[in-house]
Amino acid sequence: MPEQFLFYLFAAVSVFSAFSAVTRKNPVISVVWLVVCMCSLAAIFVLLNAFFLAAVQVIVYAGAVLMLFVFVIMMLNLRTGIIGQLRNMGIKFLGLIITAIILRQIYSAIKGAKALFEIPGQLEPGFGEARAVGELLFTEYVYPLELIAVLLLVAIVGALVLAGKETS
Amino acid sequence: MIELEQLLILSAILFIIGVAGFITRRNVIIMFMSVELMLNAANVALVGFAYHFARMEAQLIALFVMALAAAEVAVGLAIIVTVFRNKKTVNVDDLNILKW
Repeated sequence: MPEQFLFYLFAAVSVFSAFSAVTRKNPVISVVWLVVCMCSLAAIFVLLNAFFLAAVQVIVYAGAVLMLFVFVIMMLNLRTGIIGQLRNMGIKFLGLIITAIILRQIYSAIKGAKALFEIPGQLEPGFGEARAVGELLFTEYVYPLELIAVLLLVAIVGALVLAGKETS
Repeated sequence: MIELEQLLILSAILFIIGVAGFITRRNVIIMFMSVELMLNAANVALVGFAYHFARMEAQLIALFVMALAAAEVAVGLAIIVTVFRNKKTVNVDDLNILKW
């Protein structure tokens, strides 16, 4: 089954690159691994019939958000002494315990909710394409869309106020 | 046909990697990237639900999450730049000015 094979391939790539991203010392290499992770997640979105979202994932995440990270890392000009190492062993151990507990909880939640997955829906042709997304976005969900637009404007203004050149 | 359970487990693994990175790293930029990873894990779960139940609404929520993440990154990186300008560090252990 090619679909299953591709899913496992991209899932493995995304998990591996996510793991690499949080364990590298150098933040620039972390960002590159995170780009790999986002692109493989976009491929998984394509497998799940979310074509428009896959394009947005590549453009917004891999294209805009992570390039912003690279710019900031380059601008801060972090020398090797400043680049953070892992925390001390105690906090690392505590963190692993907490993550193990959360993973256990999520796993039992997925197992417990299995009965709710029984009735899958039937995918219509055109599901997840830009036309279907746009039709829903501009009719039923137009108020959330406008709110998100205002939020983005506020974020841009806030970022300029915070990091813009100080005038005194 | 990809099962919903597989997708939820993938989403859980990515989320857990994000949580672990957020807790164990002390470089604030990498902590921030871990937050992005957690948001993406949530997106995988949402798109999986949209696929399984054939509901477009979940994909729209994933779209809004992406826009939210973009806004969050803009403000968060601005805060990091400002903090670095004042304190000359990105190590969260050194940023304890609010601690009493």
